[in-house]
Parts: sequence; C-alpha cells; structure tokens
Amino acid sequence: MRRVTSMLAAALLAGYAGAPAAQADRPSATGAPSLELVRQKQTFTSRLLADSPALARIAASGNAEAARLLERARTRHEGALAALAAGDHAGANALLNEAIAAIGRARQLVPDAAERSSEEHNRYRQLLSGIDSLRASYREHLAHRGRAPQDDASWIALTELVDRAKALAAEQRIGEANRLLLRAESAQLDAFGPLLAGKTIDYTPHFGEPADEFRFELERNRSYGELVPLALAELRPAADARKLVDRYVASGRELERTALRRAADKDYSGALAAIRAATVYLQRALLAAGLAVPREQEN
Amino acid sequence: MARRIPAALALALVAVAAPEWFAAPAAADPNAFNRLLAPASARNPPPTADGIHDPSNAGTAVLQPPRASFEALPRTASGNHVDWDAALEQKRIQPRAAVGDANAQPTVMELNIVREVKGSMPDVVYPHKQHTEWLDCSNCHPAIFVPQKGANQISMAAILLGQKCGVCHGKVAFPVSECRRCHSRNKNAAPAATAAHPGAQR
Amino acid sequence: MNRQSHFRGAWRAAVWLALALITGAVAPAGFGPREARAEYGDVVLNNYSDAAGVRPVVFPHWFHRIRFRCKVCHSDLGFKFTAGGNGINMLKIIDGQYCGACHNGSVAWSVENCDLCHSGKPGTPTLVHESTIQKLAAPPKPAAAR
Repeated sequence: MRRVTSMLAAALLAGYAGAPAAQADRPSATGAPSLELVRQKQTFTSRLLADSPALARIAASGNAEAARLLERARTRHEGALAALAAGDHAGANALLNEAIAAIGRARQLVPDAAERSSEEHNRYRQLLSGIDSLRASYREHLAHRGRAPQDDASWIALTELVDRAKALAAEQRIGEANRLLLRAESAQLDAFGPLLAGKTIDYTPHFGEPADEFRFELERNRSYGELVPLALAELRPAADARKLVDRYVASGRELERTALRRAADKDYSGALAAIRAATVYLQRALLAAGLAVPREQEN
Repeated sequence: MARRIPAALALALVAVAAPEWFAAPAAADPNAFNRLLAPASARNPPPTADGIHDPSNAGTAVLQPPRASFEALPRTASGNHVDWDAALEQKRIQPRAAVGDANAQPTVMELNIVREVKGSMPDVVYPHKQHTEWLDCSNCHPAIFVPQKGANQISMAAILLGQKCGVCHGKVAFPVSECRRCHSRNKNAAPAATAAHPGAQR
Repeated sequence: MNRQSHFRGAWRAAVWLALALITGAVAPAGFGPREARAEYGDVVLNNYSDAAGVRPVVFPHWFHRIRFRCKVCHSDLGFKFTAGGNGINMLKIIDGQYCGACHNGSVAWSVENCDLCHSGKPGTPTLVHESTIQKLAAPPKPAAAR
C-alpha cells in the first residue's frame, strides 16, 4: 500500500509539472534555457558579428557609441562561448542576450541608407498609387454632380499637397514626401465625407447596348480563364482530373472563338449565348480541378 | 468498495491531467452524430495541442492559449470563432491605429457598395465602414480593387482562390462559409437611397 | 484467480496507465487529442528556418489583431499580404524593420526570446493556417490519390 501511495504521489507531481505555465505578462523561461536554444542563439549572434556590410558601415561612420556597443557585443559573445564550454547555459544565455541587444542598437545607430531608401521608395509608390486612384474616383463623383474639379476647394488643396509631395520625391526627400501623402490621403477621405457618407452605390452592371453586355461577359470569361492555372497550382489535381480540366478548357476556348466570330458579325445575342456557355465550361474546369464552388449562377 | 477507490482516483488523475481526452470519447465511433464537425470544446486549442506549434519547444508553453483571450469576446460560428467587428464595436478590444500612439483614430468611411447577384442569392453589400476601421485605403485601392464601377470582376471562384475579397476573407478575416454576412440584402427589399453612379461602364 | 490479487493487479495497472498518460508517454488509439488544427489565421513562415536549423515561425494574427488594426502592419510597417512574401530575416528584424519595429523591448518583448516565435513544428511549409483553399476544395477522388 505504501508503494502505491508513493506512486500516487509521483503521479500527482507529474500531473502538476505537466500543467501549462501560468500566463505571464512578460514571457519568462520555464526553467533554465535548453542547450538547443542557447546553441541556436550563439549561432545567430556569431552571424550578426560576422555581418561584414554592417560592420563596415559602423567602422566607416565614426560613430563612437556604435563602435563601443559593437565591442561590448564581441566581448559578451566571447564570454558566452566560455560559459557554454563550462556548461553554464543560463549564464551563456544572459550574455548572448546582452550581445544581441548591443549589436542591434549599434546597427540601428548606423542604419543602411540604401535599404531605408528603397523601403521609402516602395512606400511612396504605394501611397501615390493609392491617392491617385482615390483622386480619380473623387473627380468622377464631382463630375457626376456637375462640378468641375478646379472649382472644388478640396480638390485644389489636395492637388497642391500631392504636387508638393512629388516635388519632394524628386529631390530625394522621400520620407517627407510620404508624410505629405499620408496627410493627403486623410484629407481626401474627409473630402469624400459630404459626397458619400452614408450612401450606397450600386456597382451592378446595367447594360444599354447588347454590345456592352457582350464585352462584360467576355471580360468575365477571361477572368475565369485566369483562375484555371491558379486552381491547378493551388489544388494540384491528379492526372486524370487534369485531363478533364484541359478538355473543358478547350471546349470553352472553342466557344469563345465562336462568340468572337458572332460578335464580329454583330450577332450579339448569339455571341452572348456562346460566351456564357464558354464560361460554364470554365466553371466545370474549375470544379474538375477540385474547387468546390457554391452551385449558384454567379455574377 | 475500498479497493475501487484507488482505481477511481487513478481515473480522476487522468481526467485532471488530460481533460480533452474525456471530452471526445466518440472519436472512434463511425456513427458519431457529428463526425467531421469539431465539438465546441475542441475549438481554439492551446498552442501545445494545435498541430502547428512544436510542443517540445519550451517557448510554446509560454504562449497564451487563444481560448483564454477569446472567452471575453463575442463569438461566431467560423474562423477564430470570434466576432471581431462586434468586439471592436463593443470596445472589448482597443487595437491601436498607430504603433506608438494609443490614441490615434482611423478615418472611417461610411459608404456601401452593392452588387446584385444572379439567381436567388441575396445581393452583396460591401460596407466600407467595417473595413476602414481596420484598413488603409492603400491596402486595397487600387492593387486589389479599382474604385470604379465595372472595373472589378469578382466571382465566388475568385474569392475561394484567394483573389479580391479572398485576399483576406478565408485567410485571416471570417471565411466565406458565412454567406449572409456579405449576401445581406434580400432581393425583394426596397433598395436604400442609391447614389446613381456616374456612367463609367466599360 | 484470487479476487484480492486480481484487484491489486488491476489497480496497479490503472495507476501506471495514469502515470503514463499524464507524462504523455502513451496516447492509446481512440483516445488522445485529435490532430487539432491551429488557430485560424496563424501564419507559418518557413522561408529560411529549416535551412538554418531552427523551428519555423508561427505568427498569430488573432493576438496581434487585438492590439493593432490591420493597417498598422500592412500599411505603416510595410508587410505585404503574402505569407512568406516579405523576405523577412533576422537581420532585418534586428535592424528594426517588420517584426523588429515593435519587438524591440519597448513596444513589445525583444528578439532574445527566440522560441516564442520559432515555435512551429520543423518542416511545416510556409502557409496560412486553415485558409479556405485548404478547406473548401473538394476532397480528392479515392482512386486518384495524390
């Protein structure tokens, strides 16, 4: 019975030890760091200390603080290697943490100008294309209300902001340009407010001419065609499924050609029938590829 | 009786140590009522048991189990099983709109886009309001959606393959299994005051 | 068989089973947690981890969504909407880019806590967990196994 009791006690202890660690606001190690973790951290630290572009930058900058931090990182790293050799994992871990923090600060004191610049340029391009598309939309809304953009105070103010941003960008002052573009985006949203707030816009296409409807259906067919290689790449159907997909796509293409011929002959109702049938084949191709689409006629 | 108590104790030990094993005794039953639908108790598993995190990694046990966070939030039937929009609206969460500034507010735009769909499915209403609480204009415009009538071909197939709405929905925002969240305007409903859009059809 | 020794044997077996189950040494078929799925929206990043001999990164969207709106990372910090498409590596993080913009010891904990991010099962490819394409695709026909 005593043996059983001690087994029970052992089991209880094992149960508690296996319980998940209490949630902490800051992460804390559940005990001493493992050898695996410390080794990985040491590999990472030595990689950092061997990153020659950064080292060259720090050396060339003449920044005393950065040089000092780099030196500290090196000595801590050496200390950590010694601690590891002596089997002191916790000590090595602490020294490596200090080394990583030091070299991180050193690198940030002397940032890579080329990298920063290319990031800022990406951001500039993204913001500019965003604001351009919003302005185009704003212009259309103004036109619909019979207002010329040059008579609209917001449009004028926005144009001025964007032009100033472009000028700054041309002078390579991209950071400032980006800040201006952010202000422009905010101002553009405010300008949209009185025009659009609380409204609903209907994007459903309504066609006056059969030719317009045919163009729409043709575009819809093309977009389904774009989806087929995507489906093949993501779903990777088996060989016999692929053959089926290819057959359906071929049928669809044949019907598309028929549709285009009929459209050229101005037989739009015939063309519409053909292009719609072509799209149905593409939908079947997607189904064969393994895409389970809700079975309803889609827009 | 005296001999059965220790055996019961042993079972109790197992129940304490691994409660989820006792929540799903029907795992092996081929005629289980819901064979493929995970029971509510199996949703939002902790990192050590979620199949992605490595349970042998020390850090995994330090990570917050999602359930602890989600218990205080409004629930839905899919995705994380959390209604993030409701959580935001009810101020149960206060995500920042800027890294360093806890008080920065996003500029929210209240504009709905309606797309009628063929067949009997209700029409789609896209609300800018809920999206601009979270996203910038440049996140979607113009790279994913051109803000112009007739310029965007959207189909369920495209969405399922991760294009258009599917860039987020079905990956990090609620999945498309919740049809009514988008297909929300019934066909026989009187349309709301629609701003007739400039005829920019192509 | 003697009734007493039968019970003692069963009792001993039960306690050993409990011990084994608690310590995770044994997961009997039919019991045990099902191969549970990770949190929806978790992103596994494994562009370089396997080659570097570390566990892949698991990024939890849910945790960050509670604290930041989407635009902060995806507009202000430059994260593209593509898992693995940002070419993030430790050097960039140390330089304060991407994850390092916050995980620097002042906004959030800093990068010394390797295993809080590098916590994925080795070999897991870059993916967004439970994304629709994984779930709504029709199951493969039995004869055509991939």
